[in-house]
Amino acid sequence: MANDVTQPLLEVKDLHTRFHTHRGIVQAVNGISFGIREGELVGLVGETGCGKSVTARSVLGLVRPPGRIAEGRITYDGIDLRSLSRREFRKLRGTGISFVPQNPWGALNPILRIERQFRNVIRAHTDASRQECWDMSLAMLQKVGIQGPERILKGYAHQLSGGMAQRVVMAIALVLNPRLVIADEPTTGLDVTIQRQILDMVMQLLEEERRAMLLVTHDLGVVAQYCHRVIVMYAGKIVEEGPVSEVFVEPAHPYTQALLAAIPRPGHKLVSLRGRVPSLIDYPAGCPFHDRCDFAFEPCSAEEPLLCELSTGRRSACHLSKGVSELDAR
Amino acid sequence: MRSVALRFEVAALPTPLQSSISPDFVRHFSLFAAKRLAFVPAAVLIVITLSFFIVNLVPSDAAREKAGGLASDADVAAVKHQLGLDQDIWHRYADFMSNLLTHGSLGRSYYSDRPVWQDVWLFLPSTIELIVLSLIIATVVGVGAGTIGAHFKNRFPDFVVRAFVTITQAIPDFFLGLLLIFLIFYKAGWLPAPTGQNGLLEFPEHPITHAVLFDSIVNGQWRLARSAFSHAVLPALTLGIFYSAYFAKTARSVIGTAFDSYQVEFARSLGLPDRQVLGYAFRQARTPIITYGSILFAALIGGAAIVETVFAWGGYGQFAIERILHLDIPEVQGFIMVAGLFTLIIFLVLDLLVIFLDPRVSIG
Repeated sequence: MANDVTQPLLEVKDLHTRFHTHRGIVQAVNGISFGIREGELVGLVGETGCGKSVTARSVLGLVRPPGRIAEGRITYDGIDLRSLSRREFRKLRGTGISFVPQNPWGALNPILRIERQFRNVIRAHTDASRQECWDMSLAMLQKVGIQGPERILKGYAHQLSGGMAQRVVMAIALVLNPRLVIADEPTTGLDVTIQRQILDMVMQLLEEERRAMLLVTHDLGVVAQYCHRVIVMYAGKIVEEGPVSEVFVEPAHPYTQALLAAIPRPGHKLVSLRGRVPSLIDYPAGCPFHDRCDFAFEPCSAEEPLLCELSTGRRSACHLSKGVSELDAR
Repeated sequence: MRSVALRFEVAALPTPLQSSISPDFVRHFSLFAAKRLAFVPAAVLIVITLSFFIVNLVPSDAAREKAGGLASDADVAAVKHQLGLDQDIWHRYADFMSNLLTHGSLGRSYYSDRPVWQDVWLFLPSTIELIVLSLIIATVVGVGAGTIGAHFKNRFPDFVVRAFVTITQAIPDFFLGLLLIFLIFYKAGWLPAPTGQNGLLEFPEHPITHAVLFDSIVNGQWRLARSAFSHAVLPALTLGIFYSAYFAKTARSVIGTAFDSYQVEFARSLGLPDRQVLGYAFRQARTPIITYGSILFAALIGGAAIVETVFAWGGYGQFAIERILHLDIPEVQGFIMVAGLFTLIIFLVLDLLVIFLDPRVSIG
């Protein structure tokens, strides 16, 4: 197993995911590359429609027509995911990579007992007996902090509160000990206290067991508190990436700066970003952010800035930061 | 020692079946069923009253119809008196209701003088037999086509399904029947002529329900059963194909929604086998499809009439049309009441079924 620093657990290279609609081809994910190492908690942030959820689904192989992965390479633990057969990929989902969706009530099957939903997942990948399934489910529910798990297992999804349902969904996703968990806005819609409790619990669990997570969210606060690294996406591209401690303190890309400025803070004026997200069908020339950017200058509307390394593990796609790093290098 | 403890735990686990039909559930369920049942007589009373007034207040002259075109006014008046049509409507309503409540009688036909109930038992089973066969075809074809359409949404197989839906919905059912008769009986000769439920020279013996296929199977008359089956194929196919379009449309949209749901996505993201994922989607889509089927079942009591006529099926719908044309008021009232009662029963069964199928529906 290759899990040293040079070989990330998940590696995405030049991923393009497109949706063929009657209005044209939507470039939802437009050539992004990133990696996640073993045990690393990575936040993927950006505003609605920037391609973060599609990125998550592309990695899981869950992009449905009219969407399709057009180009790119996704490797998990050295396996090229796009070359896997349907069956091989299915076997990997749940055991290697698993998924925590946004809407827990929607995700749970309303007419199967929770116990049965655990068992279906366990039996899809192992030959566990009914008793073993029960024990595994029970242990997992206890791990995610559910008291009286027997009662939950015998019940149905509609009998759970929002926080409970999300814990159950997480427990189902984690029951076969996947090394990578992809969570898409896992706590949206829950109130802040419960959100905090659940994230505290699950992040601690992931850290302890050295599992990696790609946390898709638009909540910068959550990323700042729980993740090691953050990837900022804008209009289907990565605009900035780096350790949370650096990106949040000193954002390099004007978009990241704007995002951070848009967090409401007492005593500060709320800054909102002018303009709109560019169309993903008619992709603009130059930097996708140039017409909303306060620092735009000549090259921004003509030439697209490439994602370049500012320091180790720190990347930004901006003509300005490129200039800065080049100056620094001299 | 440890294995003993473990075995005890296994025994303590409730199996899903045991706990789903708990005494509590049974109590709630029977209470609900009783409440719903209690509602049926009231609803029937309303249906009967409505059917009486609709039939009797519509301007028509049943006496002249019965007396014939050449009858003199005096003859018509005599017939009118004989049928009791010369009395005012409230009097007739009181008569009708008291007969129904004391003797359970719906009156007698103006023409054959047979009790209306007798005709109900004579014709209704044949219609139910045809509806059941048709709905089996409609469900299998429709849900199958709808699932294919949903799975291949906006791709070639989906276009085929949508074309099928549009075409079958655009063709009237009786025309589809004539087309099938022309192609399969007349041109290809694969199936017998539309002579009803059996051949012209076959005379079903020992009828139980007068639904020939059902009776012949129950009686073990296998040659007749084969003939009855081949006679049933075309009418059942006609209604089946016609109504499968509605099933396909419903199934395509509800299964399509289910395929796009978080639930199915979550199931797929956990690596469940395709078969099981499809099962999740089907279970989600089940209730609307069953509801749809029940509504259709009830509606087809009268709705199959034209196709019954095309195939000379001799069912209740065909009989009712003929009676309506003759202004045979008691038979028409009987038909409306039976169709209403049938609908009420089907919906009652549907409500109870949905409770069994979906734990979210609470009884209260």
